[in-house]
Amino acid sequence: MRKLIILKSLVDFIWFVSCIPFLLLGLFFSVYIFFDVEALKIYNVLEQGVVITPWYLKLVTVFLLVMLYVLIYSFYLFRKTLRYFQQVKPFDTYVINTYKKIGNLLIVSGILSAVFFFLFHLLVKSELQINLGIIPYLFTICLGLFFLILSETFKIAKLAKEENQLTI
Amino acid sequence: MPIRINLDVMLEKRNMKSYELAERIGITTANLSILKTGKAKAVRFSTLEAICETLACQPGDIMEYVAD
Repeated sequence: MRKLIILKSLVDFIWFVSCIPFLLLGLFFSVYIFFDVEALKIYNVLEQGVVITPWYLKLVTVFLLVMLYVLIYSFYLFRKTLRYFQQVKPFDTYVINTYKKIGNLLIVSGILSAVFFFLFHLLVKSELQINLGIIPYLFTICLGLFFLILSETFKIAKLAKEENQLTI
Repeated sequence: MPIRINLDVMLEKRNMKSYELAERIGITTANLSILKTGKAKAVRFSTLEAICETLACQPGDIMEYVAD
């Protein structure tokens, strides 16, 4: 189980070093942008010395933060399931349900992000942009589907294990 | 479950206790209890053979099909 220990250590490291600080900073920033007009300075439009922050820019930022929070929550759930693997209980109902939840969250997040940015480019930038290459949205959707398949597979494995245990 | 286990009846007829049977056929009393209560999903031929041999009976004596 050395691989599991390495995985758990890496996941813990990412959780404590990146996720927790990001949660706090993101929360602070999402409130801050509504009070300080210069918070999104790089995208601001200067008109006669007055700094104007477009309303949609704040909306896009908040949406991005929400999507990132969804990813962090999925990561948190994944981290919790690793404890069950350490306790040699990989087919526990909690793991199955959590993987299904992670899958659904990632798929919804991926689809919403893709639709949101397609509309953003269309309505704000007046560009019709369709990316079909390696883009984060498709990758997120694939990852979500993988977790759903993993959940289904674990459900089948749990049934097989129960059947095996109840064979006299 | 439509398969009913009549192991209790056979044990009574042979005047044998559950733990004795479990000991003789080489399974745990917990597993024998699972079999007796009808919670078992499957029975190995080797287990069935051992039960029949110990109780001197046929498989039909310890289990029967009852339609729901």
